[in-house]
Amino acid sequence: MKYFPCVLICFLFLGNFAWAQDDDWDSGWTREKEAFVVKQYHEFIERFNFDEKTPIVKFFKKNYPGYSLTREDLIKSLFNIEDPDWDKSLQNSFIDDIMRGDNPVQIDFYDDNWFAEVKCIFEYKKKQYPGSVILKLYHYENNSSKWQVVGIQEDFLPKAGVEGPFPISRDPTRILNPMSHAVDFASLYRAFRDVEGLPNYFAQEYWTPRMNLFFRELRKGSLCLEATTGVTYHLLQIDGWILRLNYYSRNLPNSGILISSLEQADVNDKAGYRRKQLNIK
Amino acid sequence: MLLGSILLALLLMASSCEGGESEDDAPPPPDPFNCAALCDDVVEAVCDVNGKVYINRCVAECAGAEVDDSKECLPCRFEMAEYHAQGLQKVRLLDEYIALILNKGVNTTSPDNTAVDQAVDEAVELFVNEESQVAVSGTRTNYYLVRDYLERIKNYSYGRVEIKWSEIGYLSGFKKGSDGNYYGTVTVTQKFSGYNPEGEVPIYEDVTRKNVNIVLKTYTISRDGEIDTECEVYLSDIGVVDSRRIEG
Repeated sequence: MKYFPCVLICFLFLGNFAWAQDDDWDSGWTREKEAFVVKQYHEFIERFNFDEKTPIVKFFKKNYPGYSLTREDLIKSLFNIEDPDWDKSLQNSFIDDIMRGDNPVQIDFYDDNWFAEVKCIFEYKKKQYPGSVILKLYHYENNSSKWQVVGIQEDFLPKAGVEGPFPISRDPTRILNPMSHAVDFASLYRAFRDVEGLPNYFAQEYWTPRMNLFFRELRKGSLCLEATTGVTYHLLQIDGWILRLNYYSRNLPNSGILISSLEQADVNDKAGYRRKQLNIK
Repeated sequence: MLLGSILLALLLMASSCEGGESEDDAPPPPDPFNCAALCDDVVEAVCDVNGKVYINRCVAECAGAEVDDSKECLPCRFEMAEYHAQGLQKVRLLDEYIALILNKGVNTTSPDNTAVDQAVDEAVELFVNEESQVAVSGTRTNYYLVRDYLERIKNYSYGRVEIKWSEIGYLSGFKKGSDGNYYGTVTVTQKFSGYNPEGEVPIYEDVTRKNVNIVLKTYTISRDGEIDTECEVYLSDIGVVDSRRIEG
């Protein structure tokens, strides 16, 4: 089934519809599928900002030149429309706020105050437990960047933690590279096994007794990362709003990295979110 | 007396050797247009407003360029698109090696383990190092070191395999890591078909979308007295974003 020019709006209001079966692989259908799916966080940013070079804009210009795609269309396409509980008035209020004529809001990879939460399975003293690692992208004056661990969520370590100074180690070759998020932080496996270089992956400014305990157990070898099971992005950089993004793996045009939740939040709400949801100060 | 004169003469000669420099011996003043001499060779690429790349800000400003800090630029000889293309080429080459390994080296000049072992070694060379990891999806995604992954797939029993590519999914730009390398990600979608021992009927097919990290390693070299930068593309971690089995 071919798409009509209204498809971007149509499927948002009329609901998702199943795509052709995979035996259309050889017929060129995959081009359309690739254009619609939000495949990486960078593509999410491009679409959010209405960047002309993002695949879906290029696809529509080439295949449906008579259709006038708008930024509102693209931002709406970034919501997980399979969720029936969306508050439409809240969504509209958000879009109006983002697109305010005098100073429209854009997001950038190097923004402060956004985080990646990696859902994990840890093995601690030979038993498996769920948990999360919270990471933040640090951006430096020479335009370089790296991810660093800023928080841990777990219920299997003693609550009090262990006081201790941040273990200084400055090996610039040991980093979680800035594109680690695109492969679900596979590099965390390497990092958490790098006993000698372990301090390089942790952010000093977020050091706490619980982090120190987690760090020590990793170093001793009684704790290890068994598996990662998904990444959630927490975007707190947009004034007045908090967004959560997740990856939706499904054979539908509305798929890939999409907005899974949206809430209004002032500065105090955001501080509370960091403490309670992300377990960071 | 004669000895004293000789000693005096020798002393005067030594003094003239150790003495202050004459104008003819003074080093020439630095050439203000020889920026490579005035600046250090630390690679922190900047671009000017016309997109021309300089190895660092000192060299750019020394040459009178107007630096544009809003541009992401690579300190490499070629444009970003060229390195994206090289990265994609290596991803496709990896898949060719994987197909060869899974086809057990059939249709090569030495259809035995030699060809397969060679394919494993050559595939590993595509990666930045042997600590690169490859994801395998199942009930849970597991990561294998690249050599372990390639050794593992040797044991798959297909008569033959086919790997077909979709069009390019998505290419992120390169981001500079604080280790000095540049990192990008390419999303590719492929259809895998594994056939029965006779090679006629597909017994397993899936469509998988993968994200492949690409690393641009930078090297400074001296060329005709000037510092220049070379860049080499390697593969790094590979993650599985989506995988769907095609039911027959």
